[in-house]
Amino acid sequence: MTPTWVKALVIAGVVVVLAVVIILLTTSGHGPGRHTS
Amino acid sequence: MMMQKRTRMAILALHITTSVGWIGAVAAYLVFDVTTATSTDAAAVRSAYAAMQGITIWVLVPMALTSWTTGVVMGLGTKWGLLRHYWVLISLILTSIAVIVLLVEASVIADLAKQAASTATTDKELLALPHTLPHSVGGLVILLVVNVLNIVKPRGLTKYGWRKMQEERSA
Repeated sequence: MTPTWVKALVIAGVVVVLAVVIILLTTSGHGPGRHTS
Repeated sequence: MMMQKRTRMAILALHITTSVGWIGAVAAYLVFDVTTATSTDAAAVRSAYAAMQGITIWVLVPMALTSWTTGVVMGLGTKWGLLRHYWVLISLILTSIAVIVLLVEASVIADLAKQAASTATTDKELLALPHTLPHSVGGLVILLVVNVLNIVKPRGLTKYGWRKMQEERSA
């Protein structure tokens, strides 16, 4: 049986990763290259 | 193989020192990172990039590698194991991610510091250089989560942990 705190932490991690992916996809680029190119 | 008490205490001391030191170093790095993201003072920004590079090379990377290595040694050399308890497994995964991102980011920071130090870089170009705030804030959050997990040590055995416990009981 997986403990509740593990499930909560995994869900929080997935939400954060998804949010980061969405932000990266909706902005014009990522990383230092976007300023120096 | 279980470690002798004296060895275990020495490695634990090194692990705690470098883990907490790593968090403190990220906090110091964050101050300079905020400067590069918000300041319009070219001299301050130039100095901040140099400080970020120094902190990364001389503090963050050595602390991170030592913390990760001593953590793995502690897991393998004690009853906790590396894969038996969720808190150890999750700490290992999160710390490994933090170390990999740090090592990749180190070369980016070195490049930024080089550009900032160059006399060919104008003040306008300098202020347009990117910051690394998402990585440093994200890294700090991950390290704080790992820190809490290591202090609280919440209950919970993995499937592997259950199986090993059953094997040891029946042996």
